[in-house]
Amino acid sequence: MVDTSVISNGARGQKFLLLGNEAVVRGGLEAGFTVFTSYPGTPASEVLDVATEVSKVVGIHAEYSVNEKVAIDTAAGAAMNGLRAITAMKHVGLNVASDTFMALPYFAPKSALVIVVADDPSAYSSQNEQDTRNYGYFANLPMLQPSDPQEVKECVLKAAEISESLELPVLIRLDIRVSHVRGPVVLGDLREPPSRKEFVKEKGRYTAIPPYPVRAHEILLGKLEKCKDVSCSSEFVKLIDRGSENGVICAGSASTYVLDAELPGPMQPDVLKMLMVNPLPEEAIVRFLSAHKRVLVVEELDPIFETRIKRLAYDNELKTVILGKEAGIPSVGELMPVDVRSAMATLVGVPQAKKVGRPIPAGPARPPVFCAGCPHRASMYLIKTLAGKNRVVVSDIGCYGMGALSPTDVGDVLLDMGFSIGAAGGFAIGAKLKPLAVIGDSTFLHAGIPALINAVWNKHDLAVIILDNLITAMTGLQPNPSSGLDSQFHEAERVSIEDLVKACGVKSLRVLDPLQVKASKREIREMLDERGVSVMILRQPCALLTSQQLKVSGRKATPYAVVAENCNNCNACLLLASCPALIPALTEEGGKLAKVTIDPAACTGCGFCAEVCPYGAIIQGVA
Amino acid sequence: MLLTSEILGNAAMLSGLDVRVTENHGLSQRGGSLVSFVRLGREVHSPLIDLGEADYIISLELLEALRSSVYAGDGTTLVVSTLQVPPVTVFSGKAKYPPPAEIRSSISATCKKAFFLDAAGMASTAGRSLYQNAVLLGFFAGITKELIKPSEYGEALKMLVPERTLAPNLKAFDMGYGASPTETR
Repeated sequence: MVDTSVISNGARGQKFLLLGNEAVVRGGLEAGFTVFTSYPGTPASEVLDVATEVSKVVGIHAEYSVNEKVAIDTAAGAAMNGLRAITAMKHVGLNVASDTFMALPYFAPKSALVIVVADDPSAYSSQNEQDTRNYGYFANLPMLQPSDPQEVKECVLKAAEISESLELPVLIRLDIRVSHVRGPVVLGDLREPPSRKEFVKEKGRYTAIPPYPVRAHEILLGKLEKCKDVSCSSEFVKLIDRGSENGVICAGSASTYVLDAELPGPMQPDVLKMLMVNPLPEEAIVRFLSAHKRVLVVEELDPIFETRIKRLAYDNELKTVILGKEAGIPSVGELMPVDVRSAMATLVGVPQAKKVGRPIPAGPARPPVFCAGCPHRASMYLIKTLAGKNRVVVSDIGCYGMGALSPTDVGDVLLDMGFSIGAAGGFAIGAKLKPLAVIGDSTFLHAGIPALINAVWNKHDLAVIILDNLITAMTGLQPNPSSGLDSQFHEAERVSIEDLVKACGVKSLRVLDPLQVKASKREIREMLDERGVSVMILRQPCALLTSQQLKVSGRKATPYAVVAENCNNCNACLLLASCPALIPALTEEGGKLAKVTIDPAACTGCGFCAEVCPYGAIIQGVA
Repeated sequence: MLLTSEILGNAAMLSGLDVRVTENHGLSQRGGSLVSFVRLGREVHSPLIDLGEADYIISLELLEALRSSVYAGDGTTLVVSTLQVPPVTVFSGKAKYPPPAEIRSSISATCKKAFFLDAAGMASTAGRSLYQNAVLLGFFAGITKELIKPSEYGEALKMLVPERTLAPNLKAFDMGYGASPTETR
């Protein structure tokens, strides 16, 4: 991450290598936005990570909200009340926020509201690769699709203007190759927020009850129609005219591959690059189609532009050949430059053999593992040992979701935020064995509470283990209500998960430390034998959080070490703990790996390996 | 790793080049394989590199160098730390870490040139093995000085690393810059 003072104080004309997500915040400051909300999710998390840092020195309000629905609601309320607001989330976060997202265009704020959504083609850190552009059309919202960090910043400024002139939220659709790309960004002037227009009560303007929605729908479509002129203007359409009879239409990160593609000189096609994609710049597209014999539409994921552009050609009786997905642009996974280059070669009729990569070299895989000292390691061990082969374990979204991978193999079902408890209720119907739901603190607070209430109310027979590590860890350590810290890491009211569980009507509640392996084992066994809804909170702070706190206080963890003469070389620690601080010897002794050592710099002193060592050969503080 | 590519990107920008940097992270940041891409030149739009198309590959671990050699082709130069970090599949007994000599010859067969450095060892003498990234960057800077002004790395390091680690990082960088590693082909 760059020093955030660059974002908060950098002067006009300075150039920095910024992440797309960082550029969102800088653009926000240059446009006078004062409210930033989000629930963290890759690849959108850095927007709020930077905004919260900036909020310590600049007068803006930045908060991690409890989920994306609350994040958009908070931003909408602020914008209704005269503050410019940005809310940011990952693509699947918009599903959570969609109830508001779909109604808000009918009853939109008058101050700028910008909704930044980052897609994850190839699902590097997500449950699916849904294409958020569909949501822009679904909700009838103006939608911008920048292609690099500089454009991201410009788009936030333009979105503020469009949002206030039309009185509509604006969707900025990013994807991982915009959000997570660093590129040079030239800074503009920071500006004071515009003078605040206080909320004025207007009958029917903000109340989504009959008879208002139908009239509001009509007004919404009228606003979008007005926006068509904007999308055709030269600030939103970039035309590269090389006098070719072939053309390419593109937007967003896909356009970067088009612009980088080198075909034999005279064969380079003309390019129409769009920045506003709802409404599409229809007039500009029709002109472009008319001027070319063959046009290729390059877009990642769904054939959305392609379908709409083909319809435009039909309506305008154009005979232009329009190529898209059938030219070899994949609908699955993120685009690679080679996909685009070879489709462009097909367009211009240069036969180009698609390069076949070398075979993936043989060698052991390196799947992700829990960090040294991670309490989930102990929790996963406990669940794996006690759940038994036949019990269904429904896991959830978070670091512990990695437990579903080998060698841990904990979690038979895992779908989306909060799925675990509701789905376990379904599994419980007619089940022989009580199903077990496993959910983290942040996910429980985000989407688990209604499902827990439902389980109690509908008398489901299930067990829930809440892994409370006091932070939202997977996305990079963001505070949540269980942290006792606010978004700026200042002290705040700790929302007690045990009080919440009890308030949901749960009678059987246990709170344990997963590193107390023996006690936890006994209690989990008991819980699984009970009838009804049983909840166990396994609480131990995230190891990264602990090491951060140690660093701040200048203290050090006391590491464990292997006492070589007691070690029987059974490798139980390696197999059961799989901890990065455990260093296996690479040489073999008698068919087995040589004795394990512990890296004292990496060991956090959690002691889990000592718990699972059958020979008592791992001892704290002997190194 | 992310920091290494960010430092490289900044040094390139300070040298007057256009640059784009990106990474595949997410789950991988929890001890899995991680790849960063950097593209630089007079005008660059995307940071992504196709399989077989990298000009340079800098690898912080020996086995990962082999894995990343899918991005290597006949024109590729590799700068590889000989550090070995066995993945979980190895220490859980599911797979074997290939013999280092075998890895080195497999890597060398895929590319134009491969340099192998005991970067972690060198970094230890500069303070901590953690600074091996700076050693590798230093060596890379030495073989690409026509591309990026070596002095710009110092500026980028100043911008991006915490003040207390600046001196050892610069020292590690200088050690790498002057290093004469094992070279193959």
